[in-house]
Amino acid sequence: MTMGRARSVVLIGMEGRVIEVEADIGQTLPAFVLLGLPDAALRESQDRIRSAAKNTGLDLPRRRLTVNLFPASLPKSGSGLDLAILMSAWAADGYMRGTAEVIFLAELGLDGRLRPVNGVLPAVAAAAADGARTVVVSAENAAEAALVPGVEVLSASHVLPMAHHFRTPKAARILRPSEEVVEQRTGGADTTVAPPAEYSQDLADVRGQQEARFALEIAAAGGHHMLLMGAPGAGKTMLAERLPSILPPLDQDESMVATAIASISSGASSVTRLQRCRPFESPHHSATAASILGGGNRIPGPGAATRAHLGVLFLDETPEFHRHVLDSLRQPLETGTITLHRSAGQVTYPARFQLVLAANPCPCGMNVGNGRQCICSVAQRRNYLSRLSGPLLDRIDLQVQVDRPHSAALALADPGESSAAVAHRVQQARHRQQQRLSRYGLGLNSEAPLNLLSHELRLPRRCLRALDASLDRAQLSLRGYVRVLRLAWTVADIALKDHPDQDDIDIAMHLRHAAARH
Amino acid sequence: MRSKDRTGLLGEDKAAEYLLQSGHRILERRWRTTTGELDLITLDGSDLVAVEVKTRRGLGYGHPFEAVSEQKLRRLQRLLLEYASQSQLRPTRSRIDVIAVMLPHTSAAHAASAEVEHLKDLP
Repeated sequence: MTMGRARSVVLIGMEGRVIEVEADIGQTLPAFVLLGLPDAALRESQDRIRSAAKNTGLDLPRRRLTVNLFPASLPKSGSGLDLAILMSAWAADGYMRGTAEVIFLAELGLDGRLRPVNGVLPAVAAAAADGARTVVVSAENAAEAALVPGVEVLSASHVLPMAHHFRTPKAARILRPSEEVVEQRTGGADTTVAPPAEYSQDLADVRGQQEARFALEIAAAGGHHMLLMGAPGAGKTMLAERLPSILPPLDQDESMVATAIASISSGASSVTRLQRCRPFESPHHSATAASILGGGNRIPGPGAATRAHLGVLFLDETPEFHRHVLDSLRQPLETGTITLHRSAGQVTYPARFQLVLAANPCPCGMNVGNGRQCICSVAQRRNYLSRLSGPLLDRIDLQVQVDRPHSAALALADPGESSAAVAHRVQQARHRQQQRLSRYGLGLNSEAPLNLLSHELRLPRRCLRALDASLDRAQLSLRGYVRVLRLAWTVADIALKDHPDQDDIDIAMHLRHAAARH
Repeated sequence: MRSKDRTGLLGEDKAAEYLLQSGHRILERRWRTTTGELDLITLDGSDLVAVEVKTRRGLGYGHPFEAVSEQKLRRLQRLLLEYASQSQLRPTRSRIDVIAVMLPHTSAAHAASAEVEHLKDLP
């Protein structure tokens, strides 16, 4: 037989596509032809494959080897196809059998070592959805591949034991003996026991700051985006970093997605188990739009917004960010996804994150309280905050003032409430929201539209009196009105009330206005 | 005679032997013009064949077949046409073959264990 087949997966963004690799040996002069839109890294694979084959004692045929990657029209990139190509070539030469239905996902070293590749989890998940039963990966990727339930994962650190596993009697005579054996495991075996989410930072570390802590709890409970405004050193960053620890842990599906994103964006072989912690991304303010949204020239990779999917995206010193970078966040805030277009095709990444912005009140940062220490001119102050005004700020429900703690608060012996206690209340509040909103296809108060709030969930007139008055006096825009209502619902949920009353609306109005004094 | 030339000659002998066994009639060996040389010219049935012989004593410098470049194939084609017109042959078909001869490493124990591979009708 002069035809050999194997399978692999290429990732287009988060989406895996199963690739059929077919190899044919022609009776002409030696050549290695790779068909099916390979990119530069893939074209280089031929030299890796030749060397790896030679170093296992099973040379590639000294003939014309044609390797076709099907579907041919799909642009393919990366080095994860190396092993599949080598296996199909050997199969064409009659050395291997049973490779046609197996997914191979590993890069080859020149000595035949199997190296880990990025994005194994989404690739294996896509293969499993496509009906694949057996997956072959490098030893480093074995744990990650085994997160997908229902697949048989074969792994080794070298191509030699893998060659022994699939060899024909013809190859058995030539192949160098191998000390290592192929490790076999079944996917999904150890994912049923979910490890608890553990965060290194606890809300108990925050002393005082009662108002800001309360605002953080509201933000977590209702999924509200948040702006923290305050002087340098007031604890804005400290608070924001602790938001993930009071959010409910990721459920099974969410943690699959979060782990898949980590698998694509972080280095190969870093993923060994499902991620339960909510991600926290805090890009520096010099970040470009491409680094936040995702970028790259052929098939763009994910950015910070995607890495923060299901977690928190924290922008410290928000006014220092480039205006167009901030504005580019409007699409993901609206839709929860980012679609990137390139000539090679379009890619959609998930990006449903909770946005936390932190800002100083002015360039020198001292314009707090009576503002006597501030050295900024009026124009400077106005300019500074105007950078984050506009459509972006419209989407931030909570705008909170964070004051420097007083010595009295710091001196308090007992630490603040722990994250676990707050997380419990948040969980309760989220449960109440789900019960109320699931029939409208929503899950969180922050997603509720005006229509719903002013009809099905309309509050009694007496509760709304103060709010309506603000609207009439033009102290509040209609959009602001909606946001106050959303916040009021979350405040009521935290307090385990069936619907917000006058007090909750007062609190909501205060939380929304706190930072707007400037 | 230098050892690489001796290796080459030995390989050509092996190739000629192999071709005779597989039914070729050998017309010329080492046919030279001012512009090049054909190792073997044979008749395989009614086909006129130019055979390029590549001999190696090991794979350290690659497989013999890998030493045949596109440029070399073009030259062989040109030389074969030249030979055909000069010798007044009117072959129905002409083609280029390449034979790889793998000799064992030590020059003493030659002959018997040489390995011959034959590629026919190269483009």
